[in-house]
Amino acid sequence: MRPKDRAYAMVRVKASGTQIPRFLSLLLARGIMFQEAKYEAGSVQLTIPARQYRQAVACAKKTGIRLRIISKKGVAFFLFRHRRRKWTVLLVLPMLIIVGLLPHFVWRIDMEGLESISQVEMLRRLEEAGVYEGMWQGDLDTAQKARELLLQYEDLSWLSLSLNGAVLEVALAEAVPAPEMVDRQSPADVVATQTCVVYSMVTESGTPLVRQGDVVQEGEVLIQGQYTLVNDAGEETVVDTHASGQVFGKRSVRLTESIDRAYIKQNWGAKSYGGVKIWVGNWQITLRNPFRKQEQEAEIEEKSWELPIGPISWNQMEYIPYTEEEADYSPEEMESRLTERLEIRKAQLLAESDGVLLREELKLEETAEGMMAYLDLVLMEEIGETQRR
Amino acid sequence: MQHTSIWQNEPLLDLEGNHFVRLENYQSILELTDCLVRLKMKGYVYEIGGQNIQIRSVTKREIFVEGIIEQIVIRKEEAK
Repeated sequence: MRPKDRAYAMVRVKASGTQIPRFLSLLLARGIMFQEAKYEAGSVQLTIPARQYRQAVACAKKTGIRLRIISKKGVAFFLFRHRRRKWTVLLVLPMLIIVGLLPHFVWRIDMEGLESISQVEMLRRLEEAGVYEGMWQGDLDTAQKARELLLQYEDLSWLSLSLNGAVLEVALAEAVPAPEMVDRQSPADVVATQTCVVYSMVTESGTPLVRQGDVVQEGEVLIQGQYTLVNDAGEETVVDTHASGQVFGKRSVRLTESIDRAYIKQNWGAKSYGGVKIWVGNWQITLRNPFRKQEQEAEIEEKSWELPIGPISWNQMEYIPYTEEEADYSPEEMESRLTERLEIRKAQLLAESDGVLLREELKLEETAEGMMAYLDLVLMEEIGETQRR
Repeated sequence: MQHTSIWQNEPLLDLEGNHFVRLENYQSILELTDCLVRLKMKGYVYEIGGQNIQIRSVTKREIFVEGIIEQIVIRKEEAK
């Protein structure tokens, strides 16, 4: 095997003789672009491309110069020297390439300046913006991403992203929230936010237009921001004011849930099997997984290491196989499941509406397919909202 | 750096401190020792003297000389 012409290969030669300048000029005339030509004890050492060595020898012969190779450099010579160990070279080279590539990923994100925003929340925001551990650094425009995040999140007043090797350093300053300005001077009414029955009412200023027990529509004025002054002569003057007060309304809500009697039952096996997962950044490698379908996965143990090339973690998993069969729920089981679902929906509703539960009633109805459940709720909520005129 | 001036084929010399010289439009190398490089230019001979002088690299138009440069002499080429 001879060094390939296209591969990078250079030879360092020593030229000795009397017509060295002529030899150098002849090299240039024949297009042999040499490098590092240095005079040393009556001879000149120079580096020439390996593919032009034969031409250089011809030039040397013509000018009476003695040419001797001192050293050989380049990938082609390296491969030639190790031609008998080509599998070693072929394995080592990809490894070197991998080691060379690994620092070009983001392997860790460090944060500075977090006060009220949690690190988990900031990591989530970065991930939404396409910045995450394990990403290719070439895809990351730090200045652009910092600008995008600053525009997107008002609670950030300053943000900087900078790459330090494989570590992304995030420095930020949180914005101080501006105090809410409440206008209590300009004329305003209190209006209903929803259609309901007025449950109780306390007027602080303005004229109440509804009473307890009245049915009000959404947007209807409850307390008018006006009052009338009557002087000694009986003349009336209407004065505008900023109406305020607390109005609570009562409304009924019906929650409905249904369940089918027939379902697919999972019969769990008594034996469990172990598996292993390895995480390199965001990449997951499943080394051992005895099943592909119908299994329950559980994490038993996790170990992680912070290597210079990035985070690597190892998870030992447990897999339990199961079989499926068709089965029917009993009425008690259906009732229990429906009640459980309705309780969750009731809790969500109360959390969303910020109301108080006055009464509740559960009705169950067995059908041909299974069971229906209705939960009637009566809620008390604040319905007054200030609206400027 | 390739100069595209109106003086095509005229010698052009760039000097960086006293350690690096770039010469454009040379014709041939007349002499090379560790203290002197003599280069043939159009109508002139350029002599670059100093210590540890070496030719760093060459292209068809340019030559780069490196070392501790102490003098640069430009002589009119003697007619043969």
